[in-house]
Amino acid sequence: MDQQSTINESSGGFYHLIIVRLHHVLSEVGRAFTLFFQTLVQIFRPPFQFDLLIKQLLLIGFNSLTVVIVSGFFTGMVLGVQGYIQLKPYAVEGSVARFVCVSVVKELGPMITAFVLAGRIGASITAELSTMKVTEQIDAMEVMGTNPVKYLVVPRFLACSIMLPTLTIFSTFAGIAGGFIAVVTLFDVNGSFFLLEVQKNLFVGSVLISLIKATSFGMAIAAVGCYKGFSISSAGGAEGVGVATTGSAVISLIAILVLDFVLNHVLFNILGMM
Amino acid sequence: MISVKNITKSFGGKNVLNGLSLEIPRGETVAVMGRSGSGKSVLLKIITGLLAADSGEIWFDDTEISRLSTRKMNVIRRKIGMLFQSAALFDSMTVAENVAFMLSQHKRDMSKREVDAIVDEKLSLVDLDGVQDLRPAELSGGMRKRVGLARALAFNPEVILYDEPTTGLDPVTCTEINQLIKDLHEKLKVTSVVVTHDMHSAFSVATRMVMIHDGKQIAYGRPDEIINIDNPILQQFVLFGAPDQILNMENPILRQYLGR
Repeated sequence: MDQQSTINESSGGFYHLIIVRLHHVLSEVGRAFTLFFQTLVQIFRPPFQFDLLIKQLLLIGFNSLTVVIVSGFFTGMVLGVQGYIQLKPYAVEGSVARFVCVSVVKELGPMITAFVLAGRIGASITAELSTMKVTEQIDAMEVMGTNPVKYLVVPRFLACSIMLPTLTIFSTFAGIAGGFIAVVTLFDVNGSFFLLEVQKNLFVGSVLISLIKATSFGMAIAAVGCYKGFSISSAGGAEGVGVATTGSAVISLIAILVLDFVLNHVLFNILGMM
Repeated sequence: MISVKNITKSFGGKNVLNGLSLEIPRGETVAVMGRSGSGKSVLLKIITGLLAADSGEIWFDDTEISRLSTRKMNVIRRKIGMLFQSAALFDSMTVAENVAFMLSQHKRDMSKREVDAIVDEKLSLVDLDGVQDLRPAELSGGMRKRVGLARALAFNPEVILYDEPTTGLDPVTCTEINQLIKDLHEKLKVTSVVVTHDMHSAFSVATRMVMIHDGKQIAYGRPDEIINIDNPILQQFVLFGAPDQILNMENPILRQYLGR
């Protein structure tokens, strides 16, 4: 009887813990969406501070260009090598160009760019904003009559939403170039044939899908980065900044994967895009 | 000028402010005293709208500001300057950019020359010259507070709120900051609220003093009135921190607590 009541008590505690945890997660999601909608409202509300946007475009875009191109290039090389090895036994190694092109344009270009920026920019946005929060800089801004969402979040959100598709174009070209160089130099594939195949398989619809995905990933990275930066308590200190920054990178990566699945389903199955 | 009426605020079930009422008359320097955690800084955050009170009212002249929309509150905030405990300077900006922040946000039609002139003027008001291009990280604690004060003055506020202005500073810099608060009060005729537990500072700068304990006001008056209030918590504060000239005064209440 005692054992039974202990089991009942511990299972009650377990359910209580789940409910508390679920409540916490749902509250966080609610606050994150509130910040997201506040950001959308502030984008269209004057004054428009283009100087802040340009600064963020340079920080996010220009400074990430090299790492995005290098990541895209080597991803394309790996795809080329793996694609050739897997297709050769079926004597369809000629399709390697199509394999590289479709994979890089529709999936890996935006995905690799988003992963790089989630680690590089999302985490840096969280670290910067959370440090401002714990050192009362955000409070100071508010006391001076400036809306922190307008001043801090809007430029970062817009810059990520603009620069992610832009960088994806570079990463996609680097990926195709990487695949081309790997396949042409390491295997017996004709360079002109590869380029012709790429040209045949590169559709406007595919590029559009790539850009839609990249823009959505950019919004997600900025929204998560800013939310995690703002959500830290003023008493969080250096430890709180570290926890928020790690949390931001992890949540961004998961958000990108979930969003990718949702977008694939919506774009391919529901809207029928190719 | 500012009336705090029956304000309550609790965090996680703990009452920090428990029906606090307080008058801040125009042109006075009011020192708000109390032990650490007594809700002094929370009071400033409620006055500036950074925190919402659970109940009660805050009046700024004829406007009740505790339930204003953010947009309307931002208009009131332009009349208020605040020096934060940590100075809260924007570390990604230079000193000049920090001081010019409000002007760059709310007076966009101003030319760079006009803004620079105001920045130079406010920096010389706090006895800082030639630091315009430095970053906050390159400044000492006292200099950071001065820059924070120059930034608070940039928009010619009617009220300046000081959150622990002398905390963490050496005695010489403390005295300099106290002198600066007094000088600014005399020169600019602004209303000031100085939140502090440094009694030396409170007696140096205040024209009115208020003591908060358990989230309520337990004493209010001019410095010479405060030392005559027979309240053990207040007198403990006075005895442990007031300057010698106050402690040496012929005062029966102080003498009683001093055991003389």
